Amino acid sequence: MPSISSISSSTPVSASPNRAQRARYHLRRNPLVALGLVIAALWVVIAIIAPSIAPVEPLKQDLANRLAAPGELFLMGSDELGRDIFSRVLWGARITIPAGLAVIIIGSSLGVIIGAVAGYAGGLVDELLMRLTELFMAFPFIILAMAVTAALGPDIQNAVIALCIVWWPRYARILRGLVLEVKAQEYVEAAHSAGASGFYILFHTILPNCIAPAVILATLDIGTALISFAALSFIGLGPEPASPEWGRMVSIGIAFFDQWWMWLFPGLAIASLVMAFNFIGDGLRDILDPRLRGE
Amino acid sequence: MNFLQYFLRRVLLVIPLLLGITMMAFLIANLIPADPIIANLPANALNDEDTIAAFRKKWGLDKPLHEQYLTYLGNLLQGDLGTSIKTRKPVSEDISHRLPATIELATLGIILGIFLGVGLGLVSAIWQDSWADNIARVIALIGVSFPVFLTGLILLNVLYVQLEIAEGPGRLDFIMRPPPNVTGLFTVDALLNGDRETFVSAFNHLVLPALTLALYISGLISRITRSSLLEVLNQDYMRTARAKGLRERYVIGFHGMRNALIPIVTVIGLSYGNLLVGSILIEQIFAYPGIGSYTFRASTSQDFPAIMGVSLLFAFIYVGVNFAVDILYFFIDPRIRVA
Repeated sequence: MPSISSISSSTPVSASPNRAQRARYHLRRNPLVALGLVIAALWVVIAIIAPSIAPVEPLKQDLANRLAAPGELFLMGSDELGRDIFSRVLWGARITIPAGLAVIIIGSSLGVIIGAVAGYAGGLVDELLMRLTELFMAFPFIILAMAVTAALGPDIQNAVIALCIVWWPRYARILRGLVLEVKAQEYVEAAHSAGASGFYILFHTILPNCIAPAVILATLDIGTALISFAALSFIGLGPEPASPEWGRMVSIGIAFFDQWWMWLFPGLAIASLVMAFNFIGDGLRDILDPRLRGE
Repeated sequence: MNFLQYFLRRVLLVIPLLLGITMMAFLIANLIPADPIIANLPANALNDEDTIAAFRKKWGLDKPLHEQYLTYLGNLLQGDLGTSIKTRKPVSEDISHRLPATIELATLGIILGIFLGVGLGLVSAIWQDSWADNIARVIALIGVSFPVFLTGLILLNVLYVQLEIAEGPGRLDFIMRPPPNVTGLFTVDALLNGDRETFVSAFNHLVLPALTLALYISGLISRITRSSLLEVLNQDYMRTARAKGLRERYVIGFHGMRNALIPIVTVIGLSYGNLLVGSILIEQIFAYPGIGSYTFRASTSQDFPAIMGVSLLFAFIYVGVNFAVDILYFFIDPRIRVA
């Protein structure tokens, strides 16, 4: 997303006295952001209170009522072992949301640090780190994930590790560019002549001035992280089969294609959550980049 | 800078990247499995001393790591990617056998996706904040938000099972025989053979999986088209173009799109990076016998040589496509020629 890096230079950092008013103005202009915020908040609440609102235990089997269609007994039907899909979908939020956020936070931090060091150090270090970044971008992420799970075994934690390993390169690239820009500013030179150490300058003088675009990119990226996690577990590189994880539930549901409730509801759960974060991210970009406002 | 200089400079940048990729694949293949012999040979060959000795010799496993890499590279240059544990055939043969199916699917999907994406993006940018913009943006957001496996399942269920207006899984109707193999692309081979019926069947079977891929890609493309075109539309030269009395169609098409094209082409190049994941998921759902389903099977059966072979293939495709994008920049953006 090339427009991201331009945000830092073009966003006026004016501390408006009536922030709440401006927020209301933007929300009214971007109703999709408001909708996204509501849906995302709803899912977070569901994730927290799932154990108390789910009608049935997510792993409880009811073999007498296998593959029951959605109805009075099971709101969203039951699966091939008679487990309640509605309860499993609610519980699924407890796996997917933390996993997606972990990927974003760890992966982007890794990228920020690598990119910042490359940009600040320059020379050979920069060259090496950037070639490494390109390499990681070119190598198919799914293969790295397969390699990680081949080495560590498939489970939720390893799926997150696999995604973190492939998540950092874009952040490293953007941060490097920003650090190069900021490095040339006079206040950095001032810090140098005041005798500040390289470490201090990088982390106290330069980074705070280029962190905003990384945070925005991370927000835009949450949806992609969630969807990638679901894709990994869909192909069996995530949590174990019984787990109420949405991607996993869809992939098991394919074998029961005519029992559409088995794959549709967990699939829609992923889609609604990802869409909510994409609504937020898209609106955020429009709000923060004045050139796109068309005023 | 003339074209030859630009071209050679790009080639020089690509070569170390390709070498790096082979090195990475080599390291993953050698460091991750506890024992490369167990990872690369079928279980029943592990008791056979001769097979093990032959495998050791071929890949230089008794030599130091850097020599092993050179052996690996030498084998690679001869097109030798090892032998699949699952199919017992050379991985390169498996790949050449299955790649055409995926190329056929991906080509149609990407072309559809570009048309759909650029179209939606144009509508969005030209009529910014209108109802048309909102509809186009919601379509784009659905495209990127719905996991491809869900889109595929819904399309399959609605268009094939319920409405019966599209063909279902596979590459052909199951009573049909594949056309004589020339390119491996069923549609092209059927046409070459003058076999209209097979062509229609092959094409119809491509529609749903290609549409699934297209919906996903078009979401990415239309978002970037909208934002980069919006950026361009406010520029002074656009006003100048209008002031000269050019027709609006011309202003948008030649002055607007030309300048908005760089980010769009970049995203199209980068979206090839998602192609492997996309084809694994889509081929799984449509029971489509391409590279994606091959990778899926390799992954579930721990077929290490096959996994590494496919990963090299896709890393090379990704580098190749982005090399082509770099070359395109030269023609799209005259500023590069001056730099």
